[in-house]
Amino acid sequence: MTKPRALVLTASLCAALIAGCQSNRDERVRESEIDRAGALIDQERYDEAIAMLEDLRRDSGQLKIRVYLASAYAGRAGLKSVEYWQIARRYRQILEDERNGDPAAAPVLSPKSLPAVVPKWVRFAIPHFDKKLREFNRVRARLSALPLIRSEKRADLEKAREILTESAQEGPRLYRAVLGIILMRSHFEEANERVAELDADKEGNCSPVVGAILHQLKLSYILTVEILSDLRLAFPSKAGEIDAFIAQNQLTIPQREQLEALARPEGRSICRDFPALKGMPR
Amino acid sequence: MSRLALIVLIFGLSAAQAAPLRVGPTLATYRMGIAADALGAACFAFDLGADTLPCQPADIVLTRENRGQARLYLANNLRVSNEALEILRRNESTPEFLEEIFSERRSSELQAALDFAWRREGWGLQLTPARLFYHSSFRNEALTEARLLVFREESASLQWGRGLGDGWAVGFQTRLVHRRFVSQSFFLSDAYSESGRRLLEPEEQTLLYLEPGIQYHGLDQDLQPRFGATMTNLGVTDRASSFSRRPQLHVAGSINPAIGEGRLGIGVDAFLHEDLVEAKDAFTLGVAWTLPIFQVFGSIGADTGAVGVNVPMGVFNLGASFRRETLDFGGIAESRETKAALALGLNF
Repeated sequence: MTKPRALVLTASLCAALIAGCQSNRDERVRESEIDRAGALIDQERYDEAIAMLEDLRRDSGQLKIRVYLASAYAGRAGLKSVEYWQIARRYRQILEDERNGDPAAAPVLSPKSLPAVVPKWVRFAIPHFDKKLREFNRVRARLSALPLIRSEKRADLEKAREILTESAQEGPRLYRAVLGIILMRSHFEEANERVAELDADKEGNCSPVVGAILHQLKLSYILTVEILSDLRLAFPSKAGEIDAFIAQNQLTIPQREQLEALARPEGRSICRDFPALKGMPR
Repeated sequence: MSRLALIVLIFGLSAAQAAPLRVGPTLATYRMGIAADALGAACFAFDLGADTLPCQPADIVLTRENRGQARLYLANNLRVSNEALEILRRNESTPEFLEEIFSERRSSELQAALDFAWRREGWGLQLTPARLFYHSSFRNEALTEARLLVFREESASLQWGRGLGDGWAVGFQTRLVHRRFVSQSFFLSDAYSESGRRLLEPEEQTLLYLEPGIQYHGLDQDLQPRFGATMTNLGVTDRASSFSRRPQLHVAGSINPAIGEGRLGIGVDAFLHEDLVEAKDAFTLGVAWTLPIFQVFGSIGADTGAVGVNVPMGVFNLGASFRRETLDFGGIAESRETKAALALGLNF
């Protein structure tokens, strides 16, 4: 090969390769932008990260952008994965414990504590209600290790969960489930605070606060169903088990309608619908 | 003159491509050697004999004596070697193992290699029975993302060069590599989902690289100038992967005047590849001072700085280098990565 030919060949080869590099350019520029957004999140500059990632999301359907964006919203709500993941990942153990229950636990409500005027059907329903209350307390105790999100920050968490619904992949759905559990904890706590409020309320069981408590419990119920659906996607091999659990525990249509009617964010007295509760102890 | 114009044209194309690129930082060079560490990309401007084969394959033409070397190279955090080997040994990861990776949440890097090389005028051969690389980094505190690159490879490299006259030479390096690797970027939530077990499933890959170079050597001039172009990482593979075939074009030159009993080389390299952030990042300035009893090297780039020393002691060879690299996240944050390496060689 002559020298000029060798040079021309080398130059042509190089030029062709340079052109080839161009094809990956867009992807790499996007990666760089995601890196910058990650650096902003690490510096707790969430507003800037969200603005950057929302722009990227408009241009690309890349899953990584959506997960970063969801995490930026969760970060703005005050959540850092290092602080809660170790607890959240024990969900298997938690579910197992819930399933086994604790028969020795002291009752919260007992039919014996009710006045004689309380109708028989209410007395009959009390043990069942007591079981649910004990479950509520157990779940609440377990969730207490998770961060508590104040009501004004919950919109960010809801936004994060909404973004994650755009993916049916396992990882994002597990993240959505974990954010749901944290959100549920906040609703539980709010319901509990309202119960304390109820203690000081002259109207007792007929206070509108009861409706507000039911509203928090309704949100928790909706979240529970969504969390289970997310876990179903995160663990496809457990889908059958989770479906059976949902079928066994979900509210019937009349129950849901009744809860819907009673639960009000602003509160509503439930004594109109259940006059028998008027005379019951708190 | 026309040759120079062609080289300028190639580099012009490179710079035109480089200027608007703003891409993220990636891992440091996979090249393992004391001179390669200390000189960085500027190693293409020199052939100091400190590493087994030269960076620029056309330099093999200038080998004056037959020489063989066995070398053990170790860099950075050797404690993670077990973790690296464990990842490559397993076919799937357990939640406990992933938990270990996430619990430290600290970037780690390891490089280790065992090489055997032989070179003589016009050709050189290098066999690497074992080369281990591990790099992990973490970001995004809101939902930790781990980036992991682990590989173990065996390779054979053959360099061949031929003089074209008037000080010009061409060279080719053929590199056959078999690699077992894990190259993954994943979120904490991915790790704990059902498919998390398959995240660290190692892949196998065989590659054949053909890396050409052309170089001018002005050996009869006082300054002993040399300049040329090299294309590296140009290859074919049986299985595509995210990190294996990313060609890099290097255009490098140096002057090497004699000073006293030694020779001082000052060189510069400009490169183009996909990871280029800005045009300024393309340049590396290197200095190499060769004395009868040892060699000292150093380099500086826009975000890098490195020094190294190589001491031949009869049949033995001892080398050490220290390299620091700053990764700039678009002016928002900076991350500093350092690499300390030691090389023990046996000459024959």
